Amino acid sequence: MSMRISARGTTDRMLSHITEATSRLNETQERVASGRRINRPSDDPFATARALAARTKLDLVTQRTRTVDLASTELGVVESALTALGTVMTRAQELSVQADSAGLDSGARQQIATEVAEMLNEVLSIANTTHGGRPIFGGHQGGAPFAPDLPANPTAFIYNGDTGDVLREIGEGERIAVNIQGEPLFDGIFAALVSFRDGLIANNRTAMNAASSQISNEIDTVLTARGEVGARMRRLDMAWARLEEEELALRTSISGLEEVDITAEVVELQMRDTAFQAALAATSRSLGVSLLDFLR
Amino acid sequence: MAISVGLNSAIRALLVQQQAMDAVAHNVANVNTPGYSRQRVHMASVAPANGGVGQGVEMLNLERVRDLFVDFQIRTESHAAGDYGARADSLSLVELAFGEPSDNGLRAVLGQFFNAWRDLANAPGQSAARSAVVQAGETLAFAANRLASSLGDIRSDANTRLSSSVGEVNDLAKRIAALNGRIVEMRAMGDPAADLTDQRDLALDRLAQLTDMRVMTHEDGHVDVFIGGRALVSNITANVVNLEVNPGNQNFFDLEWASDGAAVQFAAGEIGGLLHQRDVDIPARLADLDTLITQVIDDVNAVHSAGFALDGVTTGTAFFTGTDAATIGVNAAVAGNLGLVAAATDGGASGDGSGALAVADLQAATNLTGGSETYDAFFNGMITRLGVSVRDAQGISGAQGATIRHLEQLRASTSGVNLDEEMVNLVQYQKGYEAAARVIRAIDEMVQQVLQMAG
Repeated sequence: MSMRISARGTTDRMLSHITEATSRLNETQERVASGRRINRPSDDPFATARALAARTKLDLVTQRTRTVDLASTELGVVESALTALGTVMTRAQELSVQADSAGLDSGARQQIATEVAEMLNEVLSIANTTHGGRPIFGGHQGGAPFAPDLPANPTAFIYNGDTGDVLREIGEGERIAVNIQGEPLFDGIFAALVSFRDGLIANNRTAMNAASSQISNEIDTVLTARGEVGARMRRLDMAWARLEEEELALRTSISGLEEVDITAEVVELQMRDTAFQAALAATSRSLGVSLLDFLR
Repeated sequence: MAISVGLNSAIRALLVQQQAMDAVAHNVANVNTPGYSRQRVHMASVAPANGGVGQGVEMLNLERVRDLFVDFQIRTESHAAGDYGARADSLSLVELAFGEPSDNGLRAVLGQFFNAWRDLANAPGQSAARSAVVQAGETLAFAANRLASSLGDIRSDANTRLSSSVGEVNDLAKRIAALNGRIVEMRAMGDPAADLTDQRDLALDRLAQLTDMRVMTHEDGHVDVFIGGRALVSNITANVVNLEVNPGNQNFFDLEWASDGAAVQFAAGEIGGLLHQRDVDIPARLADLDTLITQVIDDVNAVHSAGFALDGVTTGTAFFTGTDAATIGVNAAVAGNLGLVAAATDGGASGDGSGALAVADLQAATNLTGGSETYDAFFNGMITRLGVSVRDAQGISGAQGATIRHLEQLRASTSGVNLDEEMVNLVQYQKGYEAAARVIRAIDEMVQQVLQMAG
């Protein structure tokens, strides 16, 4: 037996078909227009969770990239300070060779002593270099790390910093120091320059020679420190490259999870549009037919 | 045989065909009336009084064409449709409140909060970095406060919808009770009360969406309606449901029987769904949010109290105040004095950011779910569960809707009016009427002839 079809049943069914076709069409239109596959968690709960985790990771990677940039700048400042320090010490070494020459009289040595005293001031200013308000050789302390005992004619330099490492977090649990300990670096340099200056003033060649070999040792110390900073900068470069890769991977993963495959969606949109048109056409045909048209 | 027998048959035929045409007219008039069941005139031949030819036709009864089993099925499916429809509506609002995935939701501000501490670790001496940490803390607190209050609003919304749904249930109960009375009366007089029964069925259908009620039909035509085993409608009496404000449950309504104040057991239907959302589902999601925020408050405060302020002396300061998502805020003392932000651990030298890093490290700590989940993992879990719930509720409600639409088609195929069919019937009854009229004319001519012969 065939099913009875009632007038109201027909309109209700037609209407529900059209409504369904419209809402399916709207879904695809929203996805194509927004370019997003996930607009709310219920669109795909598990992909949403992965996308959220990836976004948090991406925020962290962005922060770490910022930290690596900062650490590079900070180590760069330390490196220039060490380069300047190296230049001063090389000049001191030249002077010590020049001062040792037998032909030099006391007056000439006094002149060299004046230059060495000037060098002490230069080294002091290097030792008290700040970057962004922070002394780079003072550990965690904020004040100037080195101070002369007698400002006019210093015999020693007092360290007011501490032994804290200034750490930058460049990876999960991976921290890198962006400072060089000031006290072990500068104590010997100050001592060597002070004894060189005093040897010159006293016109004492034995003392001058002792100071000269001290200066050579300190040049090695400065070179070692520069090597250390160079190694850390290479680590930063590696960290930066790794973060760069990670950021790219995360962005790819987020767009894969959240964004639509536009080609597939446009094809789907076409199909659903056709289905919608068909529903409309079918409705206009079915609703138009009635026995009333034929009973005259 | 008397001539009057033939005339009587023909007149009866005229009347019956006319009644049948009246039924067609009634059906056509109600082609678009919701809940209308088509009516059909049943005819039967009248047996002869004393043998011989019968006495024509009579109208046996007026049938209201209806499939009672489909009614039962539609109502049963409506319970679940109403239940999950209400859940889906409310859950969509929760989903909207969380607003994920986004760069401004709770997930994002929580991450930004910890990144602000990392930035502070890079510049512990700078007040701009300290200020940024306080700002990020306030943004986090604001996002948590807003979510907590949004979830509270959604509960209130469910409560408001409950009160209007209960009002509708009471109206329907009264209407059904009144219709019961009139239907019983009319049926006692032999009238099938078809149109009143349609109205009552329409009311019962709507009631089935709102509640998980059961209907019991009685011989005399009245129906009793039960909810949770108790009568909402008993013959001509409606036992309405009262809304009682419960101060123990945020002044939300308790639903009680007006007769004795006992709680009404709504297990499904729109009201069951709204109750579930208001009292079970949303409170559970709020509790999850509170678990997360409380853990963040406790952990950050513990680490922050151990750190040192910029003065290198002050320690033991809490960063957050409050205990849960609704109450979390940045300690006013810290917000008012940025130096109190504990960025350091070793006596507070201005270049020491290790205290700030210790706070940032909490982001990777697994302090939730018995020490197995980070804040982010816990939050993502919440969002996943929410997404699954919304999808399921929408899926079930959609599937129920499709089932009901199918059953309604079935019902329409039995009870609905088909105009073509009515037109065919009309022509048929019209022909019957014309034929009966011809019979009367034939008898008339016959009588005329006899009278002429007599004349």
